[in-house]
Amino acid sequence: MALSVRHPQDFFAGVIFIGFGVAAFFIGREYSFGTATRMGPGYFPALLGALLGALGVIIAARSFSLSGPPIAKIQFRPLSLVLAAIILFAVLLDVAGLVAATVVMVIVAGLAAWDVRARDVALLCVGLAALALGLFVYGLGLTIKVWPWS
Amino acid sequence: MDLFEHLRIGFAVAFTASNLLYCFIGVTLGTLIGVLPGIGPVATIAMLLPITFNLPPESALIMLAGIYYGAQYGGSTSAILVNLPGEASSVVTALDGYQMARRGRAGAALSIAAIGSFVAGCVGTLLIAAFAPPLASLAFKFGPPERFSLYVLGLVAAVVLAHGSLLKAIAMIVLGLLFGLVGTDVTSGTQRYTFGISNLSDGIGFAIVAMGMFGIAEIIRSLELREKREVFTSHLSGLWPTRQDLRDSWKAILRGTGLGSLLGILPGGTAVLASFASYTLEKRMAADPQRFGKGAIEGVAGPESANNAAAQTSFIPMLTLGIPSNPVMALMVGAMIIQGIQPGPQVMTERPQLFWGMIASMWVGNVMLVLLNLPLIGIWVRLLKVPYRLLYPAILMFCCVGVYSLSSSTLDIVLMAFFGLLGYILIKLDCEPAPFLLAFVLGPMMEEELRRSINTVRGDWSVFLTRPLSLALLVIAAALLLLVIAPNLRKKREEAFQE
Repeated sequence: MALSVRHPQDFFAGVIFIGFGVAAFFIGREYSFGTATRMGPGYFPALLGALLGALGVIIAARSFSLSGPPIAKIQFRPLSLVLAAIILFAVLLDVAGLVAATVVMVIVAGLAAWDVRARDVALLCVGLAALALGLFVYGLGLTIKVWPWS
Repeated sequence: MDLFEHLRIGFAVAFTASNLLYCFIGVTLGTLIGVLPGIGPVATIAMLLPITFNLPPESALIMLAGIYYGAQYGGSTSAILVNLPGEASSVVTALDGYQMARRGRAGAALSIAAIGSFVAGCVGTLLIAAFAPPLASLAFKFGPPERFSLYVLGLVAAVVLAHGSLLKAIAMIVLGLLFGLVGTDVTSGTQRYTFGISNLSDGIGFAIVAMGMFGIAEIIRSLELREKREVFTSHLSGLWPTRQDLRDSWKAILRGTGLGSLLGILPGGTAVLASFASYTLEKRMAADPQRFGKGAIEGVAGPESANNAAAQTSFIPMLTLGIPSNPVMALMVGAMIIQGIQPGPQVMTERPQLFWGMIASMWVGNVMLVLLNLPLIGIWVRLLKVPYRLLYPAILMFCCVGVYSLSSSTLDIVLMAFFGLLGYILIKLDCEPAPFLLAFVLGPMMEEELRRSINTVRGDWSVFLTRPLSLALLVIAAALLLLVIAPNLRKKREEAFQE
């Protein structure tokens, strides 16, 4: 029988752990390792990186023998829209201010719902922009650009 | 007696007008997010951290603690009425609670859950008051090697009690420790894993990680479900349990309280685990286990008492030893650090007002919760009818603006999105984010203690084994790991989680 992945969740988890472990180990080599009697800043990172890589290898290797459930289907609409909404908010905040950024974020994120309704999104835009302004700016005194022209 | 003197100090703090108000805000918010599925106490506490900056430490911690135990009350409401647990710790409550609701006994289920939670909350508060001082005096004897071993024990316990693969949970811990290292090394001043980004030189804020992995990832996951909610409200008549109900459930309440208190104190113990364990126990103890899953009132009384007891007693290791036993406690540690308080045994002696005030406020909060949850149940039920599409944009707004307000950096918002993505992927791969967050908070402290231990003895690693307290802690950690690896127990553990 051909060698095949029988536990996809573990296989990809293992690959991710290997990736982070290897990256942490090699980037961590730039930091001084210290001596046996005085641990330097590179000691703990190298230790952890190597450990994580090793764990990843074991987890990925076991996925060829242990069988497990398939990975639940990734739905790209909520994933991409929610992440896009957050990043748009971050980009717009300095450029266009809190109100505009909130409105854009609510619209983009609002589209991610399977039962999206235009009227609800419009109400949320107004309500949440007002809440953000009232609570964070007037209530907590956060210094932040509010309007595009301010 | 000391205990009463301590409680007197505590109640004096808890009963000031402003602290009563913050306690009330905390438990109300806790109930709210407990009722609503899709947002839990971890994300909520992380979102509210920026708001607590300007509060005195007592008020801030009283409010944040209220959110946690309040959520345990609220979680039962949606579990019973909609079969949709508002919190993970109410999953088992849904089994019998929802069946009771379908038989028109929603009122009895809700009131037994609230009564059980209240009893558990009172016992939990007393236990904290009684056990915290001796534990703290033990912790004063700890040096760096003991503290390092204690952290190891805490993390091992978190792994053992997490469900799913042991290896993956350990890997999540190591990953969390690594992310915790990002920033300027305290001892040498070296920039580690900062990639020249100035925002990262102070390290990644734990609120960013918590909001990303527990807030954003949860939103994305919830949006993938097309849930239908069926609310049993028409049956909500007769809120009081009958005499028979009380007779059936008082033992379960006491057993649940005992079990939950015990599991809460253990490092790694959580309210979720306590409720599962209690359900299993009740089923074993029952004369007729067949009734379980078909509306057995003990199946509501036990777990609901257990999760509240555990929520309270899980404060004990955090307040006395400074080690968080679950993600919420990790955030509480963070909240204390933000307020300039180093968690550990010295909190009790140096800040008795804060320590005892917080404990007394838990009892006050439990009284408020019973009042909030029983007579006002109608309000919470109506909230359950709010569709998720109106809810998540609000959570998103609080996360984004909240993260920005921490250090006025839009890069932090992008970082939060990154942790949302990472959390989402890891959850899809059945890797639990809870051990990650614990390790993330403990990472820098752990490295510090390790370095101090090793450097003072000139590189002799046996220091961890030659000091009796440190050795004892490591032996317990090793024993815990062995227990899980042992096949017999492993089977039992899986059984417990399946029920």
